[in-house]
Amino acid sequence: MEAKFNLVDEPWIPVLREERVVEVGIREALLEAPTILRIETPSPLEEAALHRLLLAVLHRALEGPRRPEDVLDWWRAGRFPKKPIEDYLNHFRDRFFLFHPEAPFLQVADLPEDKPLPWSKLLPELASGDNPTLFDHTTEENVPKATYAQATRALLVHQTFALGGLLRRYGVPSAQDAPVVRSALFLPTGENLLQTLLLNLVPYPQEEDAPIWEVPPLRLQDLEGAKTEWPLSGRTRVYTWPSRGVRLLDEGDGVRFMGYGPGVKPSEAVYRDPMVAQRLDAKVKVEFLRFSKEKSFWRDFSAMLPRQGGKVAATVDHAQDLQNKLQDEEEGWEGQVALRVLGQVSELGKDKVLDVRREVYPLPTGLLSPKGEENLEKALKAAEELGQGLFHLVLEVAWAVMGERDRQELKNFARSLPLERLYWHALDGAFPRFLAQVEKKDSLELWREELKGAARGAWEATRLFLGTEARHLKALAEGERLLGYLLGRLEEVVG
Amino acid sequence: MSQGKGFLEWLERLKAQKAWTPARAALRRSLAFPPGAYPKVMPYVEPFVKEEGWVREAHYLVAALYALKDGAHQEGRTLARALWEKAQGSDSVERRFLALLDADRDQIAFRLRQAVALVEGGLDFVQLLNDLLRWFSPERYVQARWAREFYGAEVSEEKKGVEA
Repeated sequence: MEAKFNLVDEPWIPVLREERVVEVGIREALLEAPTILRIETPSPLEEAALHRLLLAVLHRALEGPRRPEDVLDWWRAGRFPKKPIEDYLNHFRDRFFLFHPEAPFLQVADLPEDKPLPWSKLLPELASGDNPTLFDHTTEENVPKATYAQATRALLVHQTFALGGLLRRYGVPSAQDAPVVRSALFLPTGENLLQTLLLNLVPYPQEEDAPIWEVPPLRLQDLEGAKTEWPLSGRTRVYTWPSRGVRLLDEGDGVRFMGYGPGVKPSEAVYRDPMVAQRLDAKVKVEFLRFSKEKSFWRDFSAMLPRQGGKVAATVDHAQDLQNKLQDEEEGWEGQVALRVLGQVSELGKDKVLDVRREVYPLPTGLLSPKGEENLEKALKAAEELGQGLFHLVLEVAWAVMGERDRQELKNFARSLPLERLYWHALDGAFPRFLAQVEKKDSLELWREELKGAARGAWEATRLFLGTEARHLKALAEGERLLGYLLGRLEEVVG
Repeated sequence: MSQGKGFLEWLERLKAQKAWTPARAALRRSLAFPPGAYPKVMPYVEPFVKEEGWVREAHYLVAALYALKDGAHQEGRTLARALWEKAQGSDSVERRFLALLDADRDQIAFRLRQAVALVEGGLDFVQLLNDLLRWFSPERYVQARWAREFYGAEVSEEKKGVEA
């Protein structure tokens, strides 16, 4: 078998350039980054995984950045230094073949072909564990064939986001979570791919780190019985972590099946992924910020701020720092940085993906200023309090309509009314406007109006939802009175 | 000018005349009949009525209730509001109010009469007629406003207290 489909030069990364989506290789993505608007993919997970791969290459090729000033220099130059990147990619080019007899990229060359799985198992959006989804209907006859580019992206997504669970292959009963699988990943983005990569190129100490292509290729014997265990540390190692043993099977013009098995077992180490934020949980233990099934991510925004004992993602810190430096310069950069929060929703300890998310927020320069933090905390607190008040209100309405009932029954009825849902939905739209000027003086006033508008709008819709018999009208009249009280109290909370 | 306002002026003119005493007696008596079905009151109401059906009945009903209260018109004091005052500490008034809100065309005359008889002092008959004319609109926003006036009254009272 000869080596085939080299990811450095073959097109496989979808990017938006001159208003068209085209596919490029790693070399082109990095060296032409200023002409590329962004990586363009419908999948949030793919977006995260592709950026992490490019960042890993940059960190190693540029041997840094050692200091924030390096990033600033590259920003000013408007491109990455060409020579080190070319040299690095040429040096390791042999390790970037999707198909290779000894070292296929992010795969295990001698993984047996006997118990093959359809390639679609690589994508958590489509199928994983007991997820009943579209692709679960696949049988040997109708597995859709993936192009090499598609298969590569799926492989990368899988290695980054595979959820732990049953495996039962090659002496390994169950597999572990991939390193950042349950975290929300923070990716600040600029006006082109160069800016985006620089915004995420957090200063990098090189000691004891190597991406997957710099270490000897893994063999089946390394993975059998979970033999190989690596400490979960080293930035580019984690960015390119082999969570599973995979071997894509070439059919000449695409991939339908793959060999599959355990990957490298992560062992505990002190490591903080630059894209991950932390918060203190109720027991004052540090935990990663993650997406939750029922609420939008912004509602947890303030939990990661130092004021509440949290830690913002290093990428956010770095991006803010870079923004401030750029604005302080004579030319006074006025570009916009958007913060993309990417990841999947899962239940803890279960190998089931409930949702895949991409939420986009403005990243104002003043977010991490004392005023910005204070305003954000106050604003979110007021939103939650009003939200709780509205739930209380809707319970009262339920009680007025249904009379004396079992509490659970009342709750169910209350939840069937759209009040809370519409309130939060309206705030999902309003929050970015608030965040964009979070450190300004009158931002809280603006937010208070948004809260009122959201509550009133949701209430009007709830009115239509309820009947018009006397008991309903009574319930509504009492609800309205409570609403007036809640909105009145808002003046005191967010003053 | 709203229909209610025009009709009230008509009733007020009637009240200022000597004929008011027999008219009042007849109008009160008419409450025992379906609205518009008692011939003796027709001379007092019919000249003002321009439409058949519920619009006509509503005029007869309001005229009779006006007579029941001896023409005590008090602007701004709605029936819901007056009932709320009466309801303090009384569950039965609230029950009657809720029954009134749910009243259909067969029941409304009877329930209104009960409610009006229950409250003391004058009422806003202009508002009452205007509301009755729209009573059967499918959105039932008149009933919704009555409910607000009845159940929301407490708050506006408190507010007044604070402001004063």
